[in-house]
Amino acid sequence: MEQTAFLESAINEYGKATYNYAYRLTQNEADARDLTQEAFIRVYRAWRSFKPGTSFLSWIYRILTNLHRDELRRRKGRYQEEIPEDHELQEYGGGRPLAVEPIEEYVESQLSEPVSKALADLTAEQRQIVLLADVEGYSYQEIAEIVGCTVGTVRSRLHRARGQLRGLLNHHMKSPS
Amino acid sequence: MSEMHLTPDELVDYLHGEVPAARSAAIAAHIAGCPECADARDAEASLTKVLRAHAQSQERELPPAVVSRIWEQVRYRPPSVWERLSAALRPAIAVPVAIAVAAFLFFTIKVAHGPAHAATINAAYYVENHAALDAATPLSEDDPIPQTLANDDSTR
Repeated sequence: MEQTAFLESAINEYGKATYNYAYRLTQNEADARDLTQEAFIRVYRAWRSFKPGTSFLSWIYRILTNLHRDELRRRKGRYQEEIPEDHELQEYGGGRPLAVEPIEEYVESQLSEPVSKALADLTAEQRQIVLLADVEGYSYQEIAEIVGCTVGTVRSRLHRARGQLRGLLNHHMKSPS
Repeated sequence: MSEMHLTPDELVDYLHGEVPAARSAAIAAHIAGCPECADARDAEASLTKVLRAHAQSQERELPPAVVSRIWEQVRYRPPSVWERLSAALRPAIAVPVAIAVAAFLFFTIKVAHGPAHAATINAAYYVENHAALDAATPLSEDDPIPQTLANDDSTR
């Protein structure tokens, strides 16, 4: 059956990437599992709506994004929380603390925990934009299509989120708990 | 431009390849001659590197249990409306329904075309009453011409 073959191929080729994206987005394994499972079931049901020649990963990320958004709304989480204009940079020391010391030195062993915490402290909306832009390497236009907003919104959200992340990272590096 | 430092937002867009080519070249030229902006650029680039390195270190395989659950859900998902309809039209239900529909159609057509005896002739009626009527039919060859008509003919 064509539909089954489509799903099988999707899982084999993109299952890992989808799961990892879901994990980064949700920051926990149980939610990532549920989200990945539901996303592939949607893929199976809506397989005919996938346009050949377009990016499957972008398509499933869009599905994941919508599912995650729905789930957060259902839980009445903080997804819709607005980021204050000054995004607490001053509170955490602000500035560009990472410019002075090469950040690569801390990666893996020393930065892993602060980065995890800093990402977890972002709103889901911020985290999503940062992950798509910086980890997945999507263009602003592609992110806008995945998330369902304008390029201008992606731009401003990314600027804010990175500023916020920098402050949070500095904070967690200074006071690991 | 060489006097004005680049803003963090501008650097973020620059590093993400989201500024027009001409502007990008101008930014690159500025950074080449401005150590402060070069540091700022490195700081922004470092953040991206950290995020990527972190993501790679956290990377994991898709758990086989998730794959199993996907296939279970797909195979045992609730039937669609069409599937439910198809199930309802199984022979056990379809045969009595078909008989009822056929009987209904048969009687409906029969009523529409009137009673079955309408096309037949009652022979006794024909012989007794129809023949009598024939005998009384005016202008029959055996009968005399009515007076009124005879008069009319004579007047012409």
